[in-house]
Amino acid sequence: MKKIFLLIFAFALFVSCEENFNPFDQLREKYALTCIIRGDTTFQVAAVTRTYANENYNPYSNTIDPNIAGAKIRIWNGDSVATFKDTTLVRNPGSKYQTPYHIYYTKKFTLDPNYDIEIEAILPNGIKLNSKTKPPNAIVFNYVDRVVPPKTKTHVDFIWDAGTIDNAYLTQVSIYYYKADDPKKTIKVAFVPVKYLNQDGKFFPISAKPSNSNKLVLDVETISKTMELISEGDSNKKNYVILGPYLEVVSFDKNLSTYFNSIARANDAYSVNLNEIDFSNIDNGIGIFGAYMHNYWSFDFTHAYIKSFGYTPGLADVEPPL
Amino acid sequence: MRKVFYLHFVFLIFSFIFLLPNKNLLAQETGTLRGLVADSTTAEALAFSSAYIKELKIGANTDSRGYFLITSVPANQNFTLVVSYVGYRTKTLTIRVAKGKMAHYNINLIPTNIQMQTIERVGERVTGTSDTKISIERISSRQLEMAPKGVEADVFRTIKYLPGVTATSDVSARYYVRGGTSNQNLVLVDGITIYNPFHALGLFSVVDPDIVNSIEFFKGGFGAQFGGRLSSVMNISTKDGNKNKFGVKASGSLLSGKFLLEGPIGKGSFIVAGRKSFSNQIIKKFLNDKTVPVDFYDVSFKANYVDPDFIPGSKFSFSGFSSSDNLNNSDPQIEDYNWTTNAYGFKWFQASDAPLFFELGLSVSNFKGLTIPKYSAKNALENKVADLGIQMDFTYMFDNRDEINIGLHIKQISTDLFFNNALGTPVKLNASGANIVMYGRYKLTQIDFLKLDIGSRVNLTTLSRNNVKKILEPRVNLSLNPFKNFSIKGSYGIFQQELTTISDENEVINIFEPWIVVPDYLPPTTSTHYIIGFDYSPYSFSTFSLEYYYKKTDNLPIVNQEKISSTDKDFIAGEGESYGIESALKLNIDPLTLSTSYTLAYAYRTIYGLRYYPKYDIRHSFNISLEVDLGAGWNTSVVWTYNSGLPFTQIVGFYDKYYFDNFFAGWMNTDPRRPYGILGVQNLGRLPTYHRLDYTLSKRFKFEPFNFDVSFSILNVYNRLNIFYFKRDTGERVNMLPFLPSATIRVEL
Repeated sequence: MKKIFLLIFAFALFVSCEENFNPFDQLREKYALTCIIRGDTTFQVAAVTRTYANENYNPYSNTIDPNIAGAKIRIWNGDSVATFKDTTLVRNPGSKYQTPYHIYYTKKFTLDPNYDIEIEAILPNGIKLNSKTKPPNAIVFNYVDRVVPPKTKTHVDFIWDAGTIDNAYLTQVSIYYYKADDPKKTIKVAFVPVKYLNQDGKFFPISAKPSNSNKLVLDVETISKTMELISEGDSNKKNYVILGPYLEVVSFDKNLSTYFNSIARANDAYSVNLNEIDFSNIDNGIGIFGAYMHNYWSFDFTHAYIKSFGYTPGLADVEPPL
Repeated sequence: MRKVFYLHFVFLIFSFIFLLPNKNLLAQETGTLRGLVADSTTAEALAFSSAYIKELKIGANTDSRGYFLITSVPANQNFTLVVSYVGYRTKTLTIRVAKGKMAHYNINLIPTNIQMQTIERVGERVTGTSDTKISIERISSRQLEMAPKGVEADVFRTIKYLPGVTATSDVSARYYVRGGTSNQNLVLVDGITIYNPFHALGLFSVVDPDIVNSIEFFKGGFGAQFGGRLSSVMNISTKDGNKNKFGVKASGSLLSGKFLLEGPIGKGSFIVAGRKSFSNQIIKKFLNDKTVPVDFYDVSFKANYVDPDFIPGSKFSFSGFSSSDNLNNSDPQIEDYNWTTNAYGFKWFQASDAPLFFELGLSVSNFKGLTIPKYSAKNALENKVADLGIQMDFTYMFDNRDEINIGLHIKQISTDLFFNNALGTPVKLNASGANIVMYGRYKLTQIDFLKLDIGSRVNLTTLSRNNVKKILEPRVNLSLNPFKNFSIKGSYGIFQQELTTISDENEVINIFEPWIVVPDYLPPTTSTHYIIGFDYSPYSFSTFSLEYYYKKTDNLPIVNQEKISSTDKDFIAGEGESYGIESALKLNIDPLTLSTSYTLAYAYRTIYGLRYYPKYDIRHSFNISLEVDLGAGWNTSVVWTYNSGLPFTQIVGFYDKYYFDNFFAGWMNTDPRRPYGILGVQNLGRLPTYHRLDYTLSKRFKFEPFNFDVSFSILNVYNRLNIFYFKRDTGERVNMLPFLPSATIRVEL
């Protein structure tokens, strides 16, 4: 019996060790082009990187910069063409890469939303990456609450014409103000989140997520909380001169909307999902080429509302419609 | 066209009834013997026990209700009936039947002190049974008790040791049968479909083993009485409750506390059992030390009424089952989950004076699952399943021992799924319909060396509105006994499934899988089974079986992982194919019981022409268990499991992907790039082999007036570091269960 137990013990020792396991196959060399065109500026940037692998399986420990310099990048929009220039930026202090951030830029690209945009990147090794996208249209607001607070409800609505199906929008409301005792009258911005999360008496802002909903509904309570936080800890409330709120709606083209969709699939807190969709519209490579438009809408606070926080109105008073 | 099929079916059934030689017409000098076999202490029916008439060398197995029928017993003569069941003293009694009459015997077996019994197919050597016994495993409550417990006894974890049944981890009780997906497994509790039979992220099953009387587990080729799923059927019959005296049981493990109350009530009996989780510490071990606020309960009850003065031979029962799981987080930035199952059923079983059984069943089964996002990034989800069923089943046995089963099953099923997609757009997938099925089976058993079970389901209406659907689901099972103790078996069948779950193939742990009716743009999923094998019992203490199976599945609904636009379909149709060989050897030499099994299996899926291994494709599986009855109430068992590596998708490189972390900050102001692992060909890699040794030691003893059952288990005795998954984003390796001791105690009054 003793022998049997000894044999079992020896066998257990033999098999209990952890087996080596390599989750990697041979590195597949690919190139990623990222270029996101802003519709409200002529300054555009692009970047090209390559795939990499590292021996300890942890990609965060890779310190060899995968950015690629020396590519020739051109962009077309209708009849106009722009060539990107090669430059470097200083990286954030916490970056794992020690080398400068290598990007391409042009200051001469004006987006004409009536035409498709095409991009071509010819890499130093001769590989050509291409892509094409259709810019989104500027949105048209068809219902907005112009004055805060409204008389008959506790929230404000902003509705715009729905664009192409699946287009995504991202919204942000900002409150502009300055301090009266600032000789330069520097304009400051307070961002209004979609909601505040009250956790143990502390308020955490919940930012807007990309959505293909063509409206924004914002509680006046949330705006009021942002107004309160502007002067938090400062008893001199009158020193704050409130100019007004501002709505920014970013509309994405189909490719960027899809890209958003693919990266926004939030996993839950417990499921373990080993995959994530990697949308790419770059021919002969990976990455994303897309365009977005900024759309703005300014609205107003009544003087009574601004004064209810002890602040000073900075613009003319308005009356909320009935 | 439907009429033609229907007529074919009716013709087929009646051909068998009338054309085959029926001794009943010729030999009127016989009678029928009917028996009800039960435990002498509790009067609980003993399913699958064997009854054998010594002089005539004919016999039968009891059904899940404890009944058996033996026809063509010569009238007015005394015979010796031997009734036996593992764990009970064999009973011998003299029986006598009158000409053209039925004699009914209530037979109570006395439990022996034998505690150790193996998971074996009981009554296997009884001749004259109508069962072809292909791809079926039968597990009694006693066998469940003796199976390796782990944290606590679990029905689903027990069947994972069976050949042909695989799992993707220690963590989940979810199981896969012969290359089929987990949603292709039908779980029936007293005939009621349970849609989400899992607690706590799939760690444990909702079925409390203490209420289980018997389990029939079909791995394929199941008869025409079962439908709606493609791969397997787990048919669980619950206990009726002690008809002789009141009893109370309480037990506790490191996971949950349980109670059970049973006893006689009027002319029947009742049983109520409940279980409630009280600790998450053990769950942390399953989830890589991650704290999950698991909170669950389940309650089962059953009451039955038997009054010979009311309707002789009748039995009425009402049963119910309710389970609920909550994952409630105090952190409002982490979402909550809730899922509940409520199922109720009524049955009227009638044994008539003729060799005819009739059963009417009414059932309601509801499932509701909720994802409550609170302030997390997770999107809301609500899933509801409502299943209303009516079924009538008739079983008639001819004097020549042939048997016919006919039934009508009506199911009204509605599924509602509501969720916000990744872009916040509400999506509703609602469907409802009725599946009306008539089925017929003819069991040919009059020829000693041949047993044939032939039948078909006829789908009079279906849930799916897709035109490509099966009206007929023919099933054939065959068993040949050319030599003593040797039988060759074969099976063929077509199976159809109209429900599916939204399950992500790349998830290794998930909360619950929402059920929906397969969308109309896809045809219902169909599967064809081919099985062939043999059983050989050279000695009374040994059994060897081998089965080869081939399964082809068409129109397999697979979640469209490439869906990026709202106009893209949620599901695409794939194909499945699996085949393999399963072998099992069982030796029972008192006090040792040795069981081994080996499976060689292949499973494939094809989507858009790409053929790959599904995540549960295990090439080689080997199990060996040794159980020893040490005497004086002591029992011990060791189980060693070996599986070759599971498939996984290899990483073929990383790239720094652009994420919209802070869009309004402008992408030059931040560096919103994070490494993204690029995956190679799906599931082409293999994880290292899996093996684990579990040990259980238990002791039963009496401390008046209580009976104690104490069990101590060690999972993963030699702390094998079996890999669970590999985190693609950080390179971290996550292992399955470590060395884990646990204990349970049960007190019975």
